Amino acid sequence: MSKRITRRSLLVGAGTTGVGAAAVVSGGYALSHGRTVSIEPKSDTSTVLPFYGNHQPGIITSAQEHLHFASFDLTTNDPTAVRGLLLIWSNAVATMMKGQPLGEGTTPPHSPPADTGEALGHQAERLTVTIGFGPTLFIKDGKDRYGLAAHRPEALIDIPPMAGDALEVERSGGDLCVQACSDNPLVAFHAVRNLARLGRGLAVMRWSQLGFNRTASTSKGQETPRNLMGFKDGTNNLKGEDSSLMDEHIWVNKNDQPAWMLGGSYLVARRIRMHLESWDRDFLEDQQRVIGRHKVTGAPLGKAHEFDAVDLVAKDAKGEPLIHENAHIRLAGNESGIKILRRGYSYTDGMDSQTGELDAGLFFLAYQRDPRKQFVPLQTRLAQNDLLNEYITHTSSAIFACPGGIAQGGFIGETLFPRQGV
Amino acid sequence: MRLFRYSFVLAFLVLLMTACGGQAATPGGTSTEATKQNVTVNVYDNYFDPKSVSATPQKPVVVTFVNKGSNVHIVEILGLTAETTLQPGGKVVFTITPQARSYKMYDELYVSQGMVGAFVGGKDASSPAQANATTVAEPTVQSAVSAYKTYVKDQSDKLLTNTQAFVDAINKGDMEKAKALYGTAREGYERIEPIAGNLGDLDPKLDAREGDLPDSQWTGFHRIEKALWVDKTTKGLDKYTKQLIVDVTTLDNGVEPLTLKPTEIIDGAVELLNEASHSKIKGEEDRYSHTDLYDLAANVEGSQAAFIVFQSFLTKNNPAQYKDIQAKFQQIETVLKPFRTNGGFVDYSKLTNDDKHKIASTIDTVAESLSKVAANLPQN
Repeated sequence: MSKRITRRSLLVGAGTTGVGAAAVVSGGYALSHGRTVSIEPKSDTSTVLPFYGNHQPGIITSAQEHLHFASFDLTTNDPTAVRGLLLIWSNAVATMMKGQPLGEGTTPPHSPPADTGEALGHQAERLTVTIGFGPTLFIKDGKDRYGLAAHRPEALIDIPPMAGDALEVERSGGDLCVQACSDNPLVAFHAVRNLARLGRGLAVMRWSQLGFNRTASTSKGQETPRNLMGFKDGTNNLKGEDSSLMDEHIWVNKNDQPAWMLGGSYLVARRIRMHLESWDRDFLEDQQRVIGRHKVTGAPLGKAHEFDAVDLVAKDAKGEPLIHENAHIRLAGNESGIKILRRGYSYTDGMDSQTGELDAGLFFLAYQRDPRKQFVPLQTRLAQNDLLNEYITHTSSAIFACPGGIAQGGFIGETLFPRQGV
Repeated sequence: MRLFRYSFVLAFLVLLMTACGGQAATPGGTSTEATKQNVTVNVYDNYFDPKSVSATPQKPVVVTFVNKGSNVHIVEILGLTAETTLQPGGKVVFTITPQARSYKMYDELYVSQGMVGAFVGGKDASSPAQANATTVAEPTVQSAVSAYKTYVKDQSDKLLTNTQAFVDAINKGDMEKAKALYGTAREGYERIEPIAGNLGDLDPKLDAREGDLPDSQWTGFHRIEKALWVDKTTKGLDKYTKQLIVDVTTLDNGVEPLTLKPTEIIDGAVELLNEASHSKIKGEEDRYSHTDLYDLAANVEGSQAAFIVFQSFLTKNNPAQYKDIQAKFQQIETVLKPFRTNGGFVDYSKLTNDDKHKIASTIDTVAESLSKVAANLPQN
């Protein structure tokens, strides 16, 4: 509806919906001394991903290289203010995903610039922003702040405690989440920073996690990445191109309740600390036994190639299962019958100041149609038996209902926040 | 510690060609006459200009909303246009056909602060358009500047008086009294810190922390603080107490001749809040005495005082903004209240991370809104 300038470009844009406007806009910096630095035209829109559609971006989008995730707590008690926040965020996301700065025209010298500016000169870099609603949006400390309690999806459960959990409250939960992914970490950071700024007065950041190096491929063209344990991770992950599998396992459909979640998906986020120093002292054969795959090739034990089918019944010479009955691959893989779309990232927050060990691991993100039937049974089984548990600790947990996508002019969450009489 | 200012101007050359349903809108047009059927509504923080517009009923009219504020606005003419999000500088054009009646024109985000106008099919019976807030240096702004200068002088006088009482207690060897007076002695300083930061090297002399300067040059409040709380003595401080009185006196004499611009006063007010929410909140300033809340509250009070001097100017030109920010300052008081004791504050080490997070984010909320005030003030 409104016209924008690309971060360093000359762009001809056309408005829509019958009230649109066409504009020719060019951008430039004027330094305070009146010197103008010209900004060269950018015509490259090849890294722009669509914001509008049936589903939110950033779910089946081919996983980008970097993540900035943030969870927010709302500080307002007014549901129309929450709606306003979602309008503002959606509008800003649409702008940023096009690789354009926030705000238009000239900033008066005594106004703070509308855009924080660090991403000027960068392309869209396949930025996606995905917005979700935590259980505490619907009810918090027994209070129904926004009159939404009746709309809480049954699938948006409070994740039950799992064996071995060491959850830090200040890194867990949240009323709203923002998942920003991009091939450029600065672009992802810029998105979260500006959304936090726009939310000032309505929402405060509760916790935030940076992720680097995607640890899952969500698209057929992508090579399987390695996690920080040195193993290929997510070989048999679902792929976004398999639309019938997406419909079956990832998207909330018209047979599901509530209707406002149609086209949406449930996100579970877990910060999984890896005890890398201990892991690195484990000998190769045992590492492979724990995972169930060969470290270098990524092939299942007993096979030669990464994508060879996992044979869970094969026995070794002594008649023991070739893949240990509690190997990670056996308990977590698709062969278990449960399918989720994993979209995690490696993380490091530097060093654990108490132990001097690396504070690093996997920031696990997974989308699904119903966590009660997917994440919870899967993780319950893993938490009890996975050989990997010796080397990992879950330090945070959060769940969010990410509503469906929108058309231009709409906003994320419009189905939950229909307009009230004015 | 110092008033940190940079100027960063982001300017864009904007050529606009607007086309709408075959009609050309007039960018920048301000006419509200019915005959032209072209209307521009400027959207400021947080009001419409004009507040009310009229157009011939049953004929198409091109309405342009331009966001001239620093806030994001969500504007709508109820029943005629879609609700539309406008980023700062953003513009949207609608072609609409009103009936012979009045429509509510409002901002979804600030309607509760009175950001409401009317779009009238027919003659505009309402009051004339609101004047642009930034055009004239009004007398109320001049009086705001002198009111703030009076406040600054008042605080620097208080600083001198309270510092003298603090030093007297030390000279008498009254440790308990000296400790009790330390928090309040500094308050006057913390309320006007951005001003003091502009006066030569007074800020490092008065307020440096251990390690900011070579030990031999380290003087001021925190040097004495360390003696009282860590070395646990009032003895041997002559050198520091004398210097402290000299420096505070220099400050008190130095504030009067200062000239201040309205925008600098607001800059300083924002700076004080930044100082409170980033520095004071860490508990690093009063690391020996844990009296950080005295400083933090004084920063907030000084900021609010600098804002309040613009009350009559803003009440006239932008009442919604004034009300909004005052209400947000009130919120800070609400979150600080549990930590107040009889005439003072609890020991800072008693605060949990949750408490600090809450205080900092409440202060940040005010600072964000306050940073948008300067654009509406006369620039001289």
